[in-house]
Amino acid sequence: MLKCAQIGLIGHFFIKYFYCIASTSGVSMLPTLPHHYGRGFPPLLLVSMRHRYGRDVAVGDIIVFEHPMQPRQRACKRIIGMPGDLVCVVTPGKRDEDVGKEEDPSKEFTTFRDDMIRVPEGHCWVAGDNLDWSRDSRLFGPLPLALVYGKVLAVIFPFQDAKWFGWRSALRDVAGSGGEPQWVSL
Amino acid sequence: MAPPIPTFPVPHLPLETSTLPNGKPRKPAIDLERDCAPKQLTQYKCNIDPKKKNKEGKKPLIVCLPVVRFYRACPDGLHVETTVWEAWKERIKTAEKA
Repeated sequence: MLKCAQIGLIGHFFIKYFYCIASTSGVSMLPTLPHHYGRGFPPLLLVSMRHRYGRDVAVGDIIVFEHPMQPRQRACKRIIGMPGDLVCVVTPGKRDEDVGKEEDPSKEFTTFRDDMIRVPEGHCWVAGDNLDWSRDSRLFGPLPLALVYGKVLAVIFPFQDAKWFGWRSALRDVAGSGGEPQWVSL
Repeated sequence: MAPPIPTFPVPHLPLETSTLPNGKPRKPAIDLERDCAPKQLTQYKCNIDPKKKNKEGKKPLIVCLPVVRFYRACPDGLHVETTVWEAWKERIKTAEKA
């Protein structure tokens, strides 16, 4: 009995303060993170809890956080700006009622405006990789770092989409980026 | 919810980088082009391919178009997104040549 309690406590300590596995859903981080529609079991991520409360996270990292508008719900997005950074203002993505809209002549969705903001202290600015279908800081504003659970290190399931993000930043040198970014089809 | 944040126009970017969040001047002053390394981050706009979405029994094809965000990474850890600023600068240079 005592041994079970010890194992439980050690497990809890490890999951709470070191690493855990979290599931994700939705399309806001396509194509970086897979979606689960039509697949049954949701994708699983390896999350480093050593980065909770935004410790040692940087621009380009993918983080899991408690949604500021939907308490107790977790979300997963990429950091665009850290406290004090200056970021561009981008119009929000599409909503459910915009599903049928294929053209965007008025550039209503995901358009870079000629304005910028400074990310306030204690906050970060986040955006989903799928900018057209993501509800992120463009809607709810800067995210308090205190809501950050951890940093996503890898996709571990489904196995065909498994990938390692690691500790390095997703920011790349412009000169050595390996050419133009390509279209991706899923 | 976080309080509303004031925006500033892109041409004011060098002025904003030369000040700290508390309003005091940044010392030493930063020149974005001279002192800060250019970086890029690729995001996407993913949508269902309209040509293939109506086929019954088949999974729709999702096509993701890249959206490249440009940054300047300054020595003191400041990151400045220059996606619009770089384009604005090019427009100014082109207009001056013309």
